[in-house]
Formats: sequence, C-alpha cells, structure tokens
Amino acid sequence: MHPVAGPDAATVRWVVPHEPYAFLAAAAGHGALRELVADGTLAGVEALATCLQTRLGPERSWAAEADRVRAAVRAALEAQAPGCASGPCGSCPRSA
Amino acid sequence: MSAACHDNPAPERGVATGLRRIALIGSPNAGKTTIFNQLTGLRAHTANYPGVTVTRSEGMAHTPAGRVAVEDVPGTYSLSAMSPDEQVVVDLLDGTLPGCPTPDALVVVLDATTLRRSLTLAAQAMARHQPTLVAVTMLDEHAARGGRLDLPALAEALGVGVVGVIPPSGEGIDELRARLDRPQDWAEPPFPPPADSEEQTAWVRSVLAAADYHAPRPDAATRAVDDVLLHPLWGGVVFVAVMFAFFQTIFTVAAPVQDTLQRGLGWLAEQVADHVGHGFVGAFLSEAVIGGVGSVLVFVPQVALLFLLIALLEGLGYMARAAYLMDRIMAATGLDGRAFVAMLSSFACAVPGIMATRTIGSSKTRIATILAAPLMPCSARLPVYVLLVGLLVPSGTRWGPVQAQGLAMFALYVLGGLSAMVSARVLRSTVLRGELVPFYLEMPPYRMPRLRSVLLSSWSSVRMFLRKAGTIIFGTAVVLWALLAFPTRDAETVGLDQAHASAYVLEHSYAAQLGRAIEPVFEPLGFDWRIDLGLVGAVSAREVFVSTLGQVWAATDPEDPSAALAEATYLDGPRAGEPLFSAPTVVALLVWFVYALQCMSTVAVMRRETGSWRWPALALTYLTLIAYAAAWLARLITLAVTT
Amino acid sequence: MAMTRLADVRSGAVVRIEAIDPEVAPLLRLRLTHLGFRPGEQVAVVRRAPFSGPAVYRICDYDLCLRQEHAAHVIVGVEQ
Repeated sequence: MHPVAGPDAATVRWVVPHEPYAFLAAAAGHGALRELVADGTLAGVEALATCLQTRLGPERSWAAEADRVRAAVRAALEAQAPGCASGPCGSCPRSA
Repeated sequence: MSAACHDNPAPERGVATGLRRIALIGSPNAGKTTIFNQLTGLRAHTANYPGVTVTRSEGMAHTPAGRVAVEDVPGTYSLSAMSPDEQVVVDLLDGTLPGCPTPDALVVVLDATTLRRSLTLAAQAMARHQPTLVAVTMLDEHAARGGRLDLPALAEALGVGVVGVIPPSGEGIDELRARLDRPQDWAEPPFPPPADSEEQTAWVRSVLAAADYHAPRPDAATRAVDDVLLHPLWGGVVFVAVMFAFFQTIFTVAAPVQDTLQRGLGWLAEQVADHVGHGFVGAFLSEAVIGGVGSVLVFVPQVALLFLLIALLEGLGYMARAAYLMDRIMAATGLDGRAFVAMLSSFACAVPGIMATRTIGSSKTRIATILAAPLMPCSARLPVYVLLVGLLVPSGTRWGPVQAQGLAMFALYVLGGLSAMVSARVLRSTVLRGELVPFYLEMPPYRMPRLRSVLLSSWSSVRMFLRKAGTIIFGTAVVLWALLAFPTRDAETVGLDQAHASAYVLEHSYAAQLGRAIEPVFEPLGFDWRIDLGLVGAVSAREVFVSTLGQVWAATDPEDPSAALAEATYLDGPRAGEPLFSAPTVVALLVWFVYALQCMSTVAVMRRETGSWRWPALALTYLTLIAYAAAWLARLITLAVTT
Repeated sequence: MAMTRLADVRSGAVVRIEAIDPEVAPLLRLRLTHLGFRPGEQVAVVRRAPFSGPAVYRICDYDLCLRQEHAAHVIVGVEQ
C-alpha cells in the first residue's frame, strides 16, 4: 500500500496494488480506523473503487499523524487480506 | 561561502551565497555524476568537506532564469550514516555542516534498472521534508533489457515530480534544468513515506506495482563475460593480462612524451641561458623556473594517462571486477578490494594512487591505504635504483640464467610491495583498527563509457594534480635550486670550466652546509656529506638524487654519473681514502630509498586528501624511522656478509 | 524449510531472505536492508570467489559483491 494525493490537501488515498478490491469496504470499517475517526484525527474513511480514502480531521496535520494513520490503515487492510499491505509482490491473496 | 568548506577559497570557482542550492543524491553507478557534469559543464569546483576525507564537488547550472548552485553529494545507498564520512552527507542535508548552507531542494537520481533497491533511498530523501525531485536514468538500458516503467504513474505514486533523463542524448536534461529554477513549485508528497524499514519495503513494492514496473532481465552479455572475467582461474589470467597492458601503456606511451617534454625544456633552458646569460637572472630562469616547471610537467603524461585508463576501466565496469578478484588478497592486509586500484596506481606514482583512494568507502581503510601507498615502488625510484644497482652489481654478472642486476631490481620492487602490504596490515590493527562500514560493491553491467565522461573525470584529476601537487613541487624545486646555487662564488670560480665551476659552487652552497650539518646523523649508514646533499636534493622528488650527485662529482654527463661515483672515496674522517660507494653503503642507500618518503608532492597530496597535517606527519615520521633503521640493518648485514 | 545463513548457500542457488540476524549492530542491519537484503526478497548466489573470498549476489535486480562475514548476517530459508 502507498498513499497518494486526493482531490484536496486534507485527503489521502491509500492505493493497494492488487485486485480484487472487494475487501476495501470491510477494511474501511475496521476498529483501528474507527478509533482515529472517534478521536478526531480523521474526519472520515471511505472505500473507493480501487483505494481507501482517508480525510484528515480539522486542525490536524498529516506530518504529525502519519505514523498512526499508516499503522491503522495497514492493520485494517491486513485484517481483511493478510499480506496485502506488507507482503512481497504476488503474495497477495487473489480473493479476499 | 565560508572558508570552512573550502581548502582553497577561489571566489570565481566557489559557489556564491544567495544562489539557490540543489543537492544531487544517488547511489554509486546511478549516473549522478553524468547528470552533474551535464548540468554544470566544466565549471565544477572540488574541495574536501571539513574534517573528513570526502571530496566535495559543486558547480553552477545555468537555468532559463539564471544560475543555481548544484552540489554532487557523494554516492550512497543509504542516508543513515555508519562512519564520519557518511555523516557528512547527513550533516550537509541537515545544514549542520559548518559553513555549508542547507540545500534548498534535493534531486534524487535513480537508476531505472535497480529501482526496487533505490526507491528506498528516495523514501529516505522524501522523509526530509525538503522539495524533492526524482530523476530516473538508464531508461534506455531498462527498456532494452525488457523492463517496463510508467513515469507519470511513478510520479503520482511517489507524490513528487519525476523526470526521465538519458544522459547520452541529453534527453531530459533541459527539462531538469528548467525545473531547478522553481523548487518551491515542486509537487510535495501528501503524506511522508514510512521510516520503518519493513513499511518502507511494503511502500516500495506498492509504488512499483502502481508504476507498472517490470524489472529488466539480467544483462546476458554481462553474465557471459563475467563467467570468464570472474572465473577462479581465467579471471586471474585476464586480470594479470589487463594489469600488464595497463602498465605497458603507461610506460610505453608516456615515456616518449616525457622525453620530448624534457628535451623541449632543456632546449628552452639553453635558449634562456644563451640570450639572458649565465648571471643570476639567467640561472634563475633556466634552472629554477624552467627546471621547476619541468619537474612538474614530467609527471603529467604519466599521471594523465593513469587517470585516463582508470576512468576508462571504471566506466567499463572492470574496476569493480578487479576489486572482487583482489578482495581476498587485500583482506589479508586489512584493506579491501577497492584499495587495490590505489596500490596499483602507486606503482607509477603515489600521487594519483592516493587520489584514487576516493572510491574506498571506509575512511580507516582509506587512510591506511594512503599511508602505505608511498611504499609502493613508484617510477621516480627507478633512475635511483638503476644508478645504485649499477654501482653494486657490475653489469653482465649472471647467476646461471639469471641476470644479477635484474634480480636486484626485482628484489627492490618485491621489498617495496611487501612493505606496503605489511605496513597497511600493521596500521589497520593499531592506529586505524576496526570500523563498522562493511565492504560491499555493486557489480554494474558492462557499459561502454562515454568519451566525454572519461575525459572529464581524468581532466579533473589532472587539474587537481597540477593545482595542488604542482605548486608544491614547483615551490620545492625553486627553494632547492636556491639552496644549491647560493652563495654565488664568482671570484673563486674565475678560470674554471662550466662543470667544475658549478661543482665548486655546489660544494660550498647552503645545501652543502646543510649536508655537512646532517652528516653525523647519516654517518652510521656510511653516507658522507655529499650523499647527504643528494638526499637533500631528493626531498623534492627522488630522481633528483641522480642529477645532484652528478653535479657534485662534476661528471661530464650529469645524468649518468656512475663512472665518477665508482671512483669516489671518503674525503676525511676515520674512513678517509676508502671507497665511498662500497657494497654496504650502496645497499643502505637502496634500502633508504625503498622506505623514505622523499617526495614532497606525496606529502602535499596526503594533506589534501586527508584534510589534515596529522596523517602526512605520521607518514613522514614512520617512514623515515623505518628507512633509517632498515638502512642501518641492511648495512650491518652486508658488512657481515662481505667481510 | 530450513534456515541457514546466506554465506553458507552454494553458488547457483536461489533462496528467500527470512531475516537479518537480530544480534547484528542496528546500523549494519539497516545498511544491509538499504542494500536490498530485506525479509521476503529472493536472493541468488551468482558466484563465489575461491578461498572464502567475497561472493556476488543478485538481489533487487542488481549484482552486489559482499564478503562472507557480512553475508553471514543474512538468514535465509532453503527448501529441504
């Protein structure tokens, strides 16, 4: 997984290199991400067609929250598709 | 600009303040220096970073909107420092290096064929929160070997600008140049790349997948060539052949050029003497100025050729192979494969040898190599050895099929080479012990180097030799001339012919007084003040010993004084009347020349390359002590054997 | 799967990196990682120099020469 710029500075999209993307919806609802929304770090998390979109909470900065957000996204993706966020290329399960 | 950053502040060459500063970062072999050369042309300025043995290279790039200063940061695989030398790169980027302002932006040069490794370096650079641009090189080679890469997709995945650059055609250089003007407009990654190495790995894989990256096939030709060149047996055979050809080229091509140069300068000196006269001005011009310039120029053909061949072999990729083949042997000396090139060059001259140590990653290995290099039997020792061996062994003496003079020469070369190895080993296990930096070496595919890069790289080395060593050699030559020619003895030499008059002046010169003053020091070695005078003369360069002795004995041919020397006897003291150049004295002299650091240009280059007087001082001390002790011992042994 | 050290893998073999020896100094560990010796990567032993000299490894699509003493820090898995 890697982050790319969203439509505005407060939005970052997490690209996952492998299809299928069906698990993204479930990942968006993962506890680790919900916690970040609850404490205001994130304003919201959405599953798009090929990526997970995170929106930054008000008066927060990506630089300061990078490690926590990354860890949560990673945990969420790993929970749905083990190995997809960190494993070597090609080890990603073809079905989630 | 601050003096701390420059050994020799040269305002027209140094980088002015107020300009935008761009740092070029990249792994070795990524093509970073080629991009640097294309951006800055011949306007590069080199110096040492303060306190370390790392060369700093900066230049000016002319951009559409004006000029920017470009800094060629030493090639690195990682921005986490393991040694003081590597720390310099980090400090430079942090702006904590005294006198070196923080760069305003970073350009990360990545080789497309090794992107899976080098993106880690990009991640480390991007984590620094400075405007960053990625320049991807070797795209042509990548495609030719079946690789794939979507540059716009890579830019999107990285979140920073990406420029594809193909240096041979200059493609992409203009775009890069144009972008250097406005780093404030460069795309910023929305989210910093991970610092943790496991997450970095995941990030790299993901970015590559998004950029549709397909790794190139291994270069089949390189693999096939390596099967021979790195073969345990054939690799060694080819290596010896390459080295043989290397020295053959240096000596056969450079020697006639050097002879021509010397003849030309000799002719010029005669013209000056004829037209200006033999008075002070004439003697100063013909002997000090032209002689001094000559003693610098005589090195240049050899040094230039050496650098040219090294740059060529490096560009082809053979130097990495040579280092691989030699690493096991070099490891026994406490050095590594990279030190081999420096030791090899030192066979011709320690000056380029010491300059060639720049490729050595570990600074302790590098300094040990620099300190051992002067022991390698350089070509300046050759005329001295030829003269002395001629006095020791009558020509034509044979032991069976072996020619005795040749054997003696060979023994001197072996003694020098072995001593260099032993002293490196001793240094590495004492004052220069340890070091964390591992020895690793990328084996790039064989590539045909560009003529321009080879010429640029050897030219910058020659220029540095002329500027740094040249001034010292010239200065020493002028001072020595004055010591040998003063005080003038016009009244005493009236009526004497030219040769005897100059012999008279020499015997009563300041240098002779110096020789007499140090006579007691060298008395145990069997040297009298006239030999000491030769040693004083040889301080500038070893081969001067031969011509100084020639002048002392007023031989008709000062370049071949051996006939006069064979007749020489001690003038006074307990040995008066005995032959001066007896076997024990000649052996002691030979051994002295094997070890003594009688070369001011080497000292000057040591100072330049290590950035302090500490190491040249250590080298002078330990080599002089060893030279003295070994010469004394050699004299005793020869005495015992011959009587 | 059995674990061994990269320095002990015969020439011509392709193995998967499992870990960098945790005993190794952190900076050396990091450097090996930056050179491409990362868990999960495949590494091929291209050739070895005689007399326990260095070896050439193919890792991350490039050839790297590394001494035995440092290759010993890389723990790899081999098929039984």
